[in-house]
Parts: sequence; structure tokens; C-alpha cells
Amino acid sequence: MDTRTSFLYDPMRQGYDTNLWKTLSGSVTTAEVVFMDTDSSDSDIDYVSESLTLSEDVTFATA
Amino acid sequence: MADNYLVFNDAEAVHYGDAVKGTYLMEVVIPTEPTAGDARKFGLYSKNRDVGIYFEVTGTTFRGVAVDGNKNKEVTEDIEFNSAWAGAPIEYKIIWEAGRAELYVDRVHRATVDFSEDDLALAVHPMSLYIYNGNSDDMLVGAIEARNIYRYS
Repeated sequence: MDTRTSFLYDPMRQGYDTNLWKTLSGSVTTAEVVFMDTDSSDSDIDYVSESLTLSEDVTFATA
Repeated sequence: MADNYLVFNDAEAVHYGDAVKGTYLMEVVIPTEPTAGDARKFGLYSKNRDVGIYFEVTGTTFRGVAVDGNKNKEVTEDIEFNSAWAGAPIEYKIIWEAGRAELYVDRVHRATVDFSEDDLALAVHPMSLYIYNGNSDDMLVGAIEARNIYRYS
């Protein structure tokens, strides 16, 4: 019988779950990151990254 | 909002699940355009057997790779890296089928890695989600979705 399996891994809900992941080298961390769509001229997904660490210094682009 | 990305900075991790075939979507932020000395991989890999299907940044090259280290064989297909992908959350998708893998970036088909004629052992060897960033910068990994896995344990 052909039984297909699917799953979703979502860091926002699960973080870095060491029951599911094995770190082979270095260390894996987590971060809260916000991306903004600075191009409103089309409907394509088009993001520009902001700083990894949000602070009062972050300047958000305007459309 | 809680932390929503895994951060790989000179780090490497493998998922414990072993899978055969299926479709894998990974939201990844490659921080910079491929540059000399860069080393990044993400996709499916069995490290102890060196068998895998993955996206790779090696120096200035971005490519899809199918490898079978036991047979010392590798099939690669270069993918032109769009500068807009650097520093942005982009969907990278691998469709692992019999004899080949279809690779998509940003929802557009970019390459077919055909390993049917090279007799790679990818049809039967289970592989795991794998992420490696050999650079000292922050490569981010968001949600990962796996669909239609033929066999999973």
C-alpha cells in the first residue's frame, strides 16, 4: 500500500527542537526576524531583510 | 512574535527523520550572494554515506547537487543566483523522484538533477533534512514542509 507521509517543521512553534535535530558542528540558535516587502509595484513576493536584532535604530522603508 | 528562524552561523545540523522521495520546501535566507570561499548546503543528505540531494553554495557557484559518495559519483546543475535572493526569505524546493530531482527556487523551476544514468543509489537510500553553513555569517532557516514522502521513519 502506498501511504505517503507529510510533516511541517515550524521554528516559531517548535524552536530548535533537539529531539528532532542533531547538531553536527557549531551551535544552532534561534532569532526573531522581520522582513518587509519594499516593492509594492508588483504582486510578487519580494522581501528585503532587516537587522537580525530589532532595535529602535531600525529604519523601515516606505513603499 | 516568537523566534521564527533557526540561525546557522558556522554550524551544521541534521534532522533525525529518514525519508525516501517526496517534496521538500525550505524557507532559507542566504545572507549574501555566493562569494569566493563560501560553503553552504541545505536539502537532503545522509552524511555517513555521503548520499544526498541538496542546494549548494561553493565559492561563487550556486548549484543543485546529487551525490553518491560510495560510488564516487556526483551530478551537479548550476543555478544562476538572483541577487534579490540574498538576504531574503526564499522558498527552495526539492522534488525527489525516481532517477532525478526537480529543483525550484522562489517558486520557479531552476534545474533538473538527473542521476538516472549515473546509477546513484538515491532511489533506495533514505536521507534526512540537512543544513550546513560553513561561513561565519547568519544563514536563516524558517518553516520546512515535507510532502508525499514515500517512506519515512
